[in-house]
Amino acid sequence: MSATAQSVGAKSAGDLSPVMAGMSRKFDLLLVPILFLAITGAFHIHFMLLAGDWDFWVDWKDRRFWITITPIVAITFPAAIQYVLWEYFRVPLGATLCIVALLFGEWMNRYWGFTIWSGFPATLTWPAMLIASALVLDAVLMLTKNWVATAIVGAPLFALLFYAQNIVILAPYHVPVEHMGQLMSVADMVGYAFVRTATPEYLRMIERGTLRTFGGESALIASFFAAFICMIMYTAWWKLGAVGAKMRWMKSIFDKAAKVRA
Amino acid sequence: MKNKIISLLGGVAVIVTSLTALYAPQAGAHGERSQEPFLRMRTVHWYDTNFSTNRVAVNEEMTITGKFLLAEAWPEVIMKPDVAYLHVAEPGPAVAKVETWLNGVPAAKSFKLELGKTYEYKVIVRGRKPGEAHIHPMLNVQSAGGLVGPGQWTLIEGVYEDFTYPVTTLTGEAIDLNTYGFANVVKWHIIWAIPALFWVLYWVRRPLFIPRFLMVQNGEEDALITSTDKKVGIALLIGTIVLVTMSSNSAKEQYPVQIPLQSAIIPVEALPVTPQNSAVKAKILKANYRIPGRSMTMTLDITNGSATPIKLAEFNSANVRFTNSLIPTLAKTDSAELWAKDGLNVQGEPTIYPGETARLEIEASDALWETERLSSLIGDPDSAFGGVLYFQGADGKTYMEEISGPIIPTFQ
Ligand SMILES: [Cu+2]
Repeated sequence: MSATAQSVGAKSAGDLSPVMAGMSRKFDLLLVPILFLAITGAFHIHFMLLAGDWDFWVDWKDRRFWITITPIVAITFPAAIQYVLWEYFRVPLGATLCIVALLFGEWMNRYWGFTIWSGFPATLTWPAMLIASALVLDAVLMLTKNWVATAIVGAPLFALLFYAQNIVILAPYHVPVEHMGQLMSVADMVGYAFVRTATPEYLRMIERGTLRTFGGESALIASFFAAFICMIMYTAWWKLGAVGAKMRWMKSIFDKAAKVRA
Repeated sequence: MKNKIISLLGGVAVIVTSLTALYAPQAGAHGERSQEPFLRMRTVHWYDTNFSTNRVAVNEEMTITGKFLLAEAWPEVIMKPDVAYLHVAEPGPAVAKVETWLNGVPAAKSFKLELGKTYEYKVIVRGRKPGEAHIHPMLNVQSAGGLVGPGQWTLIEGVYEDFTYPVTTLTGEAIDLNTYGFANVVKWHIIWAIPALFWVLYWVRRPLFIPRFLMVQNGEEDALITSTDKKVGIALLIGTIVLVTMSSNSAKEQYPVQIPLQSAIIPVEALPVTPQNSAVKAKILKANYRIPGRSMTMTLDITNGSATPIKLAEFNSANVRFTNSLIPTLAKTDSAELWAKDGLNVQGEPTIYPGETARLEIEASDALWETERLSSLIGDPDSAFGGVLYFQGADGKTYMEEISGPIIPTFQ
């Protein structure tokens, strides 16, 4: 029954008859948006629950927790979806698709939920950028064709690039101001001025802990720590992708596809 | 079957996606009644609350001042106010905070406060979103949440588009805090969206799932990544790293002076102990809550340690004022909707002379017990109440004493 036996000589298993090719293309164009929206929903919820406040507010984006937590939480779905898209289709798009879907969900959420419904200024509530991390993760997987190499090289790059790519939008918020005789950053000031009733100042975790004690370069140390954890997370979620892909519904769809070809 | 699965998955995906888009942080503070009574009756006793006005234009300022006493009967189940933040409760940022002070100390950071002590606050806000907003001073306490003071309906007039929040940075730049930096955020999100969309389209433009799946199954996967793909991949990898480096370097050049986020927990000295907040002592002998009558009765011994004759004028619990109509009370501008003007009935000789101890039987009754959901205190784990008694002195001053204790419900 397998389509593989049909391949003879230079003829590839991927050469479909014109009718089949047309149908297969329709299937592609149907599945891509559905996949995109499904990832948006699931990944966005996952991300909000685990990295929520750090990503919601400009005055939570510190040099330790934000830098550590965001890439660790953000590499999960990309790793799992990379497994499916790479192992079954050799499409190195898993990370980019996930991150674009996440950012799409975030912008929808920030615009409708935070700006329109709750009335917060967008300057307080913008999401962090992650696309550079995703592009590199996909490129590394494609070039090495190996998930272990991607875990060792790509996952740390994913984390190291996270803070670096956001400097360009975060820097203006770290200009100092004097307010009520005290030194504050503009980000602190934005958070102070626009009242979040349920998010008092002390809930922020600003550079707490001891990592900074060697050298003062908190952001760099946090990035390297995140890079290390991202290797583990990438591996774990790649394996989770493998488990998820064995689920019956996926299998039945592709078994059917194989039958169609036969 | 395939179509069914796909449409089902699609439906679920669309619903889940749209739901996450609608998630919004808690904007209104108007869970004030839903908080358990003990959290409102035995934590922060707000008094002398004053709003400078009840209508402001956009960009116009309003000042809220007042004092609070941190209850000595602070419930065991929540943390002491070792980490507390002076805040404003309002539905979304209808007004923006301009200044906040606690006993003269700037309140942008969090405080360590002490039980049994009184504090004086000042909050200046600036009209932002036109409409009516219920605005309260609030003390957030770690693990207890927002402990809300008396509220006032405030009318904010004008158009939102006029709102600005001017700030001058220490580098000499004049900025509007309401919009600052956001155009740059959008610009860079768009710049990064371009390579991302390119990469998605680069793969989606060719046959995707079925033919590629068949080829992978057939062991032909090496044919699926062409040498062009590899070149594009290398270019993408290098281009991404170069753009990240360039953009971060330019930002560091443009903003050479940067400081990290500022956060601290600072101690504040409480207001001094004066006869007004310490001279009168009360001892509760008995306290009952009569459920059908929505009234609370108390028998107490009051000792007047001040130098002037006093009369009981008010019992205040959870921002609900029960006042005695026979005694002219101080004009306070606490929210009128929480004022039982005739709600306090005092039996016994009303005037207590200096040095004297008098037994009073008082009854605080009003439907507010029910509407403010305070009557549910009998459902609390330790069935205790708390509040503050205010006495009017012959010298024109107000004397206060915190009371608290167990309470027994009666059902007829
Ligand atoms: Cu209110």
